[in-house]
Amino acid sequence: MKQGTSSLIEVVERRTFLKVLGSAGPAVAIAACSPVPPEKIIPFVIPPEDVIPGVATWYASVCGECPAGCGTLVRTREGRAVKVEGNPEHPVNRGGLCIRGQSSLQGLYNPDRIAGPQRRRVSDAAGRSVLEGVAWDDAQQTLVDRLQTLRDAGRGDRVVLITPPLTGTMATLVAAWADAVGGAHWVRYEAFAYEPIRRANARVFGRAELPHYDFARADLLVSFGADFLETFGSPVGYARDHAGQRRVRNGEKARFVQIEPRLSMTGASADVWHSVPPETEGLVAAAMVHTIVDERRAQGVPEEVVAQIAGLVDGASPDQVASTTGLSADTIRELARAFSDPALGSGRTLAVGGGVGVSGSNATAAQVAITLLNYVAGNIGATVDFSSASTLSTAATYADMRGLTDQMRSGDVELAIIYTVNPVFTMPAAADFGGALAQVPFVASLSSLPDETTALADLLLPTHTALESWGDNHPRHDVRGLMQPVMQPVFDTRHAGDVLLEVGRSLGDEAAAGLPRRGFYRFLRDEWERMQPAPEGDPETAEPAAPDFETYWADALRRGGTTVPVETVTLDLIPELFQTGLVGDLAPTTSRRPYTLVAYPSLHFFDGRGANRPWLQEIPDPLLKTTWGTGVEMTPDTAHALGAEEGQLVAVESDHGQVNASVIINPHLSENVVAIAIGQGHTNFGRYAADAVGVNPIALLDAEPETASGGVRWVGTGVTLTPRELARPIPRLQRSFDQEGRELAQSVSLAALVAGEVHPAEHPFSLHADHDHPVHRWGMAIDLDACNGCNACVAACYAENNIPVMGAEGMRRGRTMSWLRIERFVEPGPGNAGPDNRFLPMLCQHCDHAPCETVCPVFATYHTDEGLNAQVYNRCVGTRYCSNNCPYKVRRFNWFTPEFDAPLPLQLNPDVTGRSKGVMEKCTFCVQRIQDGKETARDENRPVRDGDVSPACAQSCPAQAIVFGDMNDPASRVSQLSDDARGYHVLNELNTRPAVTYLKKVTQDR
Amino acid sequence: MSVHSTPPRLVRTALMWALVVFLGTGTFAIFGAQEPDPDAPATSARGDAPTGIGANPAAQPIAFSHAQHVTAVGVDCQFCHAYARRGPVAGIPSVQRCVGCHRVVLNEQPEILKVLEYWENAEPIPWIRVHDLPDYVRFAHKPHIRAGVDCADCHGQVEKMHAAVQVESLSMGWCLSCHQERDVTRDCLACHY
Repeated sequence: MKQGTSSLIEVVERRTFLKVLGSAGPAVAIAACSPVPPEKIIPFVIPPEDVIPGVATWYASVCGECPAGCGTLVRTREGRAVKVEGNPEHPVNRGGLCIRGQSSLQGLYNPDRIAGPQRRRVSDAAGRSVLEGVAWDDAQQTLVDRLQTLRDAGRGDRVVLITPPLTGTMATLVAAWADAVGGAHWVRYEAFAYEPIRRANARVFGRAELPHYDFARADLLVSFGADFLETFGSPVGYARDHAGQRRVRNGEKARFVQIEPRLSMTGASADVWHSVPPETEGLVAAAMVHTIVDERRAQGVPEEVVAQIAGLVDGASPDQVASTTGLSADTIRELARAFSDPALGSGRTLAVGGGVGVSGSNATAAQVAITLLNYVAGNIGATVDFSSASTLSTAATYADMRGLTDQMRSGDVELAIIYTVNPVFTMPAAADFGGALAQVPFVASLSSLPDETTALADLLLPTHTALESWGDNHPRHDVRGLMQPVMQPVFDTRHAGDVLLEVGRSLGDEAAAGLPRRGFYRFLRDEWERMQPAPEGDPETAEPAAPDFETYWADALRRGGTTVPVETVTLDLIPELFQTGLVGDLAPTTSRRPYTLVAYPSLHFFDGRGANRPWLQEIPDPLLKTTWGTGVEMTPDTAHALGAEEGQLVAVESDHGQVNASVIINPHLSENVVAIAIGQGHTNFGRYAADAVGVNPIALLDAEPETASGGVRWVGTGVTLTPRELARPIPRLQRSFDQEGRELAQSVSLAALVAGEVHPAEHPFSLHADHDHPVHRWGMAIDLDACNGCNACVAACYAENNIPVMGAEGMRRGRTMSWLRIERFVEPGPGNAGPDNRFLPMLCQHCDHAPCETVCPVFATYHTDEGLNAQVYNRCVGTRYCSNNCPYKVRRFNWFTPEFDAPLPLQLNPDVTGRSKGVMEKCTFCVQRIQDGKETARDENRPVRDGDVSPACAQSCPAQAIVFGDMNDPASRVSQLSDDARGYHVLNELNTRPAVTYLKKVTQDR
Repeated sequence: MSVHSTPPRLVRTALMWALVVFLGTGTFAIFGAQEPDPDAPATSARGDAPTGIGANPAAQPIAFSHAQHVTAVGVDCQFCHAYARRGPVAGIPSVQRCVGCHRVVLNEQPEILKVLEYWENAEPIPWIRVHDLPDYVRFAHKPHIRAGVDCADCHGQVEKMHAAVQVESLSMGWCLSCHQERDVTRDCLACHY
């Protein structure tokens, strides 16, 4: 069709076209009623065994987006991945998946991916160079030649290999490879490597590790800037544990206090949010320890150790830190007493210090204080678990990376191979990693997407994404995930392991001797065969059973990995802890500049790696509701003092750099703090990152690491703000967080709930007859107490329902097409508890008395006998009456026919019709998944069971806040939740009788 | 008017008409989630189209005869259209399935040689779709097979056809008449979502 059309256009002049078009109107109208042009129908040459056309095939794998290593189930249709969901059997995430993990599909199908190997060639006399495509064999040979020269000259140790903190088989391979090429220097780089936490645990317990935090057992959680629902550690698993623990049980609800200079999305879920100046979190923790040891409330700590700890926190009493932290001494004391409450029992509380949130110049000391706080409350070995510690501890520190930068600059590195990571962007610009990399004579990049680092490479060897790769992943000591390719590679890419193996083997027999003999997939199997636990023998004969690797392997592939038994770790304080002081190191730094910068990790972009994903750009930030851009957040007071307004450009200058950023008003910052999200402001990261109006705070940071741990100081840089006479507003999809008294997102106090004073509101009297729902009546319950605003459901909806991305320009005009949005409302919290944030996921309510249905002139929207508010696209004529009459404003009109840049259309779900210009669309309760569930039940000759049908949003929710099911079944979870005392309907007074019941948020009694 | 004597301007105008008619039909349809087939011929005048009632059956790449296979040899429909009872699409037999028999059966006939050539080149046979529904219609074979609907109810007496042609209109009214007769779902959402 493409060729035919272009040749036609070539032969027809514009004038003729218009002439024909002018006289063709009636003919077109008639022709439009004839059948669509013929399609070809292409059979398989050889049919794959387990593929039925039109039926999804699922593969279990592991998410490769961050070090958490969540398990995934990937739905494929006709050989292409269309949706990534969390694996309910995987111990890390147990079913949910975050917005970044779901967007991995847009990494796979990213239109900017490096399509094949490229080599740099000097193109003119001025020395300018271009990258040109080469064949894989040539590209690999280029690297082999370079390595061979160095190896033969005995300079193999001048090769450096920078990778993410690899684990499992890939780590084994890279270690062997580094040896084989003659002692190459292998650096495992992760931008958020939480050096202060690792260093603090080394100082306290002699163990430089990142423990697993058991949020599921914490009756009182005190988080010092830990964004554990967003990026910290293992956010999906933590969100699941945390939400489970925070459910009201036996009239009680676990408490959660967040202490930080900028309200994070995680902090928005806290019962109490304390705003403290940057770098003072450690003082609060030390004062809490002080109170606990002073009042003899330490749990299970020997008397002499209590005395030693008292010595360590001497000088940090609540009274002494009150003025610096801005928290009253009584507040700190009360919190400390609650934290060590004997009524809770030992090890039932948890203090967590943020990996990036607590990263100022005193970060290690602060983390030591937080660790001691856990120690005196008896939490070590209980809620703080080192036996299943994170393997992120193997990552290099930022100080190591600086050392490497120096080596590169001084010419000690002759060849660098960089796999996937982007240190040119993620390391403080003042460290000038890019400048140092330019000094390296030859840089090879193994990366699937172009970024700031690949831009400096001499050789690009594009690799598979995680969805195209074999591999394994060992995120915690007790979990070993198995990754399998879910489809053929989209581009001409290779597995990084295979590239390294082939290159290594080409270096001669001696090098090859140290490497696995076969390809990466074979090596992976061999490694798993080696690790396979000995099967249990027959108990009667005591004969050991023969290991059956094929069964073990197939089972691991089906489940997405396996668990590994771990020894319980018992820890004690090491004597060296008491040889150095603590309180002296806890004082915050002062700057000659008036404002302090908090650079915080972004829920959507992490360290910047998400900025090339259209969903992550388009879906609004959970707190600010900004899209396609970041700016500098400041309080109304700061803006007023500067004379700046929302959207105005402000020059933000530190001792280390300067950026221009748009003002975003955010009242939830501590005094004189400005905040910028990490992850935007890319210079070479594809079209979507370029479209965004972003600003990169990393350009402002100090190159010097925190002294004690060698970590980046993300927090605490002094900045000066100068307003400029320019405006560049960041699109915001919600500007007011005030409910205007409409009670959209409701709450109830725990006391009232326990006292039985809460009852669902009655429906007003209605003149309309009720609908009959003879078989099913689908309904949904959304627990506002569990929802933390994380946007996972929104991303799931985009992926499942082919929702188009409207781009930065569209967003400026407010043209979102999202069927599901999370509204945020802020009420003043009681006392000094901070703001009361409420997240309200808003989607089509599938009303029984739907205002949209009665106004449709063509019966395109109507009520089905299963309780769905249906929208029939092919009936819709686009009057938009329905949208005008919808009180929930959840209908979306297609002003344009949506466009998806190739090859992104490969992601589209073939089970959902794409919509074109002139058609109204909205949430369908994932009717395709309902049909699928009913179909499966019919196949198995049984009724539909509760849990058979789960819309994309409910499936993805890490907090399990969304429950879907049949309200005609009184035993279904959704029926029971809909009758819950906390249940209510948004805008109940309109009597629309929605099928979506919200459960009120539960506020703690204070 | 013969091709040779056609003035170039008329050719252009004719091509233009074809384009306009094609654009008209294309934009009227709600676009499907499936990618449009880039190789589909741009013909659309009804007499030339291989799709729809009254289509030209000669457009298929191989002169396949259903009558020969079904009536003369006695092959069951679902032997070749093997997915009908298992999924939404009935499926066109894989080249492997054709060759499974024709490697030995009639393997010197010119039409069979074409099949064997596709097999040798490991290429699929680009059949022209005969029964085509709009992209906004979700028809699934499996529930219809389960309900005991006979293939011929929708596809006609294929066993008597050489090249398959469409005999029923496959319009919504036609679907609904049967659903009404059997008193099964007439909900729009059963097919449109």
